[in-house]
Amino acid sequence: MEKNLRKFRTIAIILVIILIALIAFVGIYGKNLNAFKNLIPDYSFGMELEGSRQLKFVVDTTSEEKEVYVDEQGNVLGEVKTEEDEGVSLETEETSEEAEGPAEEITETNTPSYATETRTIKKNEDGVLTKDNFEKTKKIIQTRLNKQGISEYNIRLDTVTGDMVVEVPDDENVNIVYQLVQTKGNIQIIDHQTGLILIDSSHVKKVEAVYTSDQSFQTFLQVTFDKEGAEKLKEISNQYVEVKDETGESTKTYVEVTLDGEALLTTYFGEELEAGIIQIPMGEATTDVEEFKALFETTQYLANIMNNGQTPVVYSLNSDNFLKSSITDTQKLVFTIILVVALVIASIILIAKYKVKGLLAAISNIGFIALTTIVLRYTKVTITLNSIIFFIAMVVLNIIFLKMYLKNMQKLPESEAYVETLKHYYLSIIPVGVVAIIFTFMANATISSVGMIVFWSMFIQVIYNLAITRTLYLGQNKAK
Amino acid sequence: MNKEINKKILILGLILLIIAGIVVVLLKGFNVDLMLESHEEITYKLGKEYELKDIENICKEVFGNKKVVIKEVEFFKDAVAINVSSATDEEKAKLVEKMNEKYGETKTVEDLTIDTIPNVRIRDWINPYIKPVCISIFIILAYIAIRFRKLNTIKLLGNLILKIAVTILAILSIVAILRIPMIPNYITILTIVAVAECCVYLSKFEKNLVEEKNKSNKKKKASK
Repeated sequence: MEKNLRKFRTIAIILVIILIALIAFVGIYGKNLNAFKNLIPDYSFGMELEGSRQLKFVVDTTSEEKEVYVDEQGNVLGEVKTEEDEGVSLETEETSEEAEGPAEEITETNTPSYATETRTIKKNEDGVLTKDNFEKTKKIIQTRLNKQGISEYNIRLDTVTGDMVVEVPDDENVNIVYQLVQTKGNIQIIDHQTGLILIDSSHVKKVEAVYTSDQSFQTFLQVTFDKEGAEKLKEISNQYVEVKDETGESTKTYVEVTLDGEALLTTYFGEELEAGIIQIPMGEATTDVEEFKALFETTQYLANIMNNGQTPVVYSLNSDNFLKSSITDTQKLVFTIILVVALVIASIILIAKYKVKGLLAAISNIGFIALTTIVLRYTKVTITLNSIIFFIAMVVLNIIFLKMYLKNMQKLPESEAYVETLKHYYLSIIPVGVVAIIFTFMANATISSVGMIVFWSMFIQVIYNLAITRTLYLGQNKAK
Repeated sequence: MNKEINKKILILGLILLIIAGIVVVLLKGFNVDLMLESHEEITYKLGKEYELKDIENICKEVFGNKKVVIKEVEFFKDAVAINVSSATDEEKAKLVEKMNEKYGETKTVEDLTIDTIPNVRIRDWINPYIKPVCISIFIILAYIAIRFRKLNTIKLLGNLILKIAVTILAILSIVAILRIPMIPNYITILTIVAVAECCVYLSKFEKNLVEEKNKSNKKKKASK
């Protein structure tokens, strides 16, 4: 009776393993529109295996003739507003309209005694194009990419020409990468009427994306200034206000917060800003969570750009190509065949040495591989060449575990053999566990994918071997 | 006796291998993979489907023994990027001629997009590994020092670090001497080797610890 029960249990477990293997290697197909589609999610491959976007950036050589304010030393203090800028030139004393708000008459209140002159403003001045600045720009871009959570990228820099090639995965982040590379990150508060720079980016201490959630979500870009900047902001907040004359007619003077010359906000102040903090509303308040999320993400990457310093060199995109992986389908097939052959050889060795128990171990090992691959698909672990190498190592470790278990079963009853194997095996592979945990928490996709593969493999190994492998041998090994 | 001689021969062999590796690296450096070093990328827009094998054959004829990596561009398999360490004007002309011949085109060298792709710095692909590897090493060594404190900890750790370092240096020497192209994945392979070696020694230390415990138990019993 007991023998029959044992046989039934063994057959049932083998069937379960076959089922897991079929799900993992063949899939579960369901009808999707008019075709059958695998319901098991696809693997997420890294750019080594999936291909990458190759973005070629060149040093921006464009220049523009602009009228600027200059001080006695010849330093540029701002660009003179033209009619196109919706501002007012100091000389012309024309009126302007609020860039984002309703049309209101603005009169010019400041009359700085700066001279104006027409200069050729180059995106990159000749003196800026040095090896040191190219390197510095690359470093800032690397920091921006890291902070943005772009976990997989390569940056190639030609230190002679300054040309930069950025390789990133072909996903929704590519447009953000464009901005992270091309934006200089120069935040300024300027006089909207005249174009004079009131506070420049050297006084910016910190930029954050924040939001308020009352009845709707409102995203803000919060800029914190240093002590000197805070003083200036206080001064400005008292100066750029709405003033009502005796007849009750209001006059507003506006400031403009700009990023690389592009206006982020045009406003006037309702109260004195003492804390040295200015909040720039980004878009309209919304009750749509998805819309809010998108806006908040955009604000976060703007904050990321401004927080990590200005790039000394400004780049422009030259070309953007998708390059397929250099690993061909044939190479992938050959590699898979080699792995299968290696697995078959390992199984034959187990069978030759431990007979039926060896066969069961070989079957159990296939189940372990299958189950791990299913979990890796559902957990969306990025599969890279590195993580494949580690996965192979984990399969080898599982074979070692099975071999130790079989060896222990030769001299000990099954339950004792299992405990003895567990103790010896897991005490020996503690370094693997340490690597798994530490690597998992790294930002770099190549490293974290290794950590995650090892972590999931170890986790599944513990559960699977306890639930499946051990049950396979239950009652097969009486105490000797 | 034989074991001792074998051990000495092995140590001598490893020392010679590492010295040879260091000399090769100092004189010639590592043989970095083409896609990581500065190279030329020739983008050829065919406008029709092609077989990679055909392009490979043409490249073999044109560039001879030069390192070449071919990649498909975009999704429609109608453009190809030929990465080559360097291409002379003659080679470029020959490439266009062969491609025209094969695909019935009338392109000229001017129709090709030729870009110089800068190198990826070795330190750029090593940098991300420094933090996790250092933290892992620190934790593992701390664990060993605490777990095996009854054994001679300093000697134990010294031996372990030395043996793992020698293994890694020996592998790197082989890579340098045999001029095997360096790729970032070697860091992973070296990590696996180091972790595996560490596990093997940990297993030995566990056995030594059990023996040590048995010995002290016997002593206690004897003293009673």
